[in-house]
Amino acid sequence: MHFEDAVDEAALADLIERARRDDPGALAALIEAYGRRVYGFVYRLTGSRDASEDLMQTTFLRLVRMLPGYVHQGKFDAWLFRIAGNAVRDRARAATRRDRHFAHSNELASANRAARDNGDPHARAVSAEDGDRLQAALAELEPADREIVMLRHFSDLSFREIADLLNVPLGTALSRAHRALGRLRARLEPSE
Amino acid sequence: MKGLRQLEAAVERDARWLRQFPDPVPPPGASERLVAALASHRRGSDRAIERIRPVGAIAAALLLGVGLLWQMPAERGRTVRDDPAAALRDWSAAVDDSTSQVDRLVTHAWLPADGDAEDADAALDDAIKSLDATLELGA
Repeated sequence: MHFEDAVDEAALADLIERARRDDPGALAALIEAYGRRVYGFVYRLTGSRDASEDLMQTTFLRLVRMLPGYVHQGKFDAWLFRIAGNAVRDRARAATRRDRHFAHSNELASANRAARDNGDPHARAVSAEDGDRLQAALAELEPADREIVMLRHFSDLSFREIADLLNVPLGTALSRAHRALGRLRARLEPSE
Repeated sequence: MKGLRQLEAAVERDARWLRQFPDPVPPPGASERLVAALASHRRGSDRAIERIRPVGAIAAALLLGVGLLWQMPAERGRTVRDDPAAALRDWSAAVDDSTSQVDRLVTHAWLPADGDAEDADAALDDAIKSLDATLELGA
């Protein structure tokens, strides 16, 4: 796990139990631990900053509603990111019904604007530009491929767990990820 | 299997390459807005529960009533639960009887225009009692 806001298993089990009892502090702590990753995940899938904040809210609201029925068996990441992925799909379907262009509205600079608010100005500019380029490259992938790659990046899930989550064979998940990452590298590396 | 493991190792390596890119950061105040939205949702849920509590009590009473009716033996001791088709036939038969009683009731109810009012009242009372008895039998 490369995210510094991750919590260990015992602390997570405690947070979930307290959140189940409607402890506002526990919910805030869960948001603290997972909010950035959920936001990053939905942003990378949609490319829209506004949609991503809505989707982050939708994900956590659904989590709160479903928490009483959730049995924690060490698979909170799988559950949370499934909720987030479903929220993205629901929104995309609704947008399709309205015949609107939703997925990848190319609001490329927006999400990384926040990143520019921190740290060294030059480093901020370079990294924001990199983030935009990655987002543009991601937009060219198949949605299913993009989701697998982003699940591996933002969640704690292994490819085997991701395959289970998406109900596809491990080989399928791996080949999709391999293809997607290959395309991303081909698109992004020559100009580096 | 070995091929799958090799592929998995290669893809894991490639996936780590993504870490060089900055991850999107939620807009300022997004977490606070989310916490507020969750708190508001909880308050809304509590209010909704308070609102539907009386409706829930009425619904429970209605369900209880329906349950009792469901259990209540119809004519000839058959219930809807035991034999819905037979119970329906019993009920239809009771309705046929009731119709004849209603005819009597209507006939007597209109009599005062032409005949003796006291006789008509007495006959009307009899007709109503008879109808009541028929309806109770069919219930």
